[in-house]
Amino acid sequence: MRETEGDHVPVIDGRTWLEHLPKRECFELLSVSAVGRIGVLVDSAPEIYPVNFVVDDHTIVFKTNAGSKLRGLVRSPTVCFEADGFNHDEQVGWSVLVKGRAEEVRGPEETSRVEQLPLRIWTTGEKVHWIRIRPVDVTGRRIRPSPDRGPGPTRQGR
Amino acid sequence: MPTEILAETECMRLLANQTVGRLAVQAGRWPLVVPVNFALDGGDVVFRTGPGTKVDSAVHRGVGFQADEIDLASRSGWSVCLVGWQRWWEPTSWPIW
Repeated sequence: MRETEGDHVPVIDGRTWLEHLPKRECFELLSVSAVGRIGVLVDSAPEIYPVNFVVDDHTIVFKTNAGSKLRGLVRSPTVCFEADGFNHDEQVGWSVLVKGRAEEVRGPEETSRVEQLPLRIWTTGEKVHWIRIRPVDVTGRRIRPSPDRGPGPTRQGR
Repeated sequence: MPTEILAETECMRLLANQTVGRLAVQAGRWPLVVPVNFALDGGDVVFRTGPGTKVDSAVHRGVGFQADEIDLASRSGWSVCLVGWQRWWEPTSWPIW
């Protein structure tokens, strides 16, 4: 990944009040997240799938089974990975977007390594394919509390 | 936790009670995923945005959308994914909401 000024210091956008996060903080946020979302091209439309994941040496690692997600990332390995956290009541939150290349983990040495990772998969049933995303670019944004932002419309049932 | 496949009516009911979703657009080589505040209008997902990648990338192309609600403590939750076509209104004809 290339180094930029934003790698180390947060930058605040004066128009949107969004804080652009340094890469170090992006990885810190990813490291404490249990669920992220992979964006992958499936049959010419980008689709989003939630996955449990772990960060391993600045790469994203998750497991999946044969299906549209795996088929999509094998055909089109340029993928995006997103994780976020929001406080709906205070209307603040953060999101991190990773652009990268997905590859299936192969070989006994690599497989043995990822099997030691603290990945907790919430769904039942064995997932057999280990996928690693090697980042090309990582960006993060945080919505800061803004004094002039009024409350949003409320939804019934919330 | 077993995975349950949700019916479309249940998907739309869940979306109606969520305020943050994620849009996927193909921008160059990348299927970008960006969070948006959204509302449902009938069976359509509606959101507002400024000029930029989300609009530029989605001209006459398919887009993906996803929303979820996840309970970390019980390691459970729901997720709804959809694909569709994006179109937009110019500011002069935006409906008021």
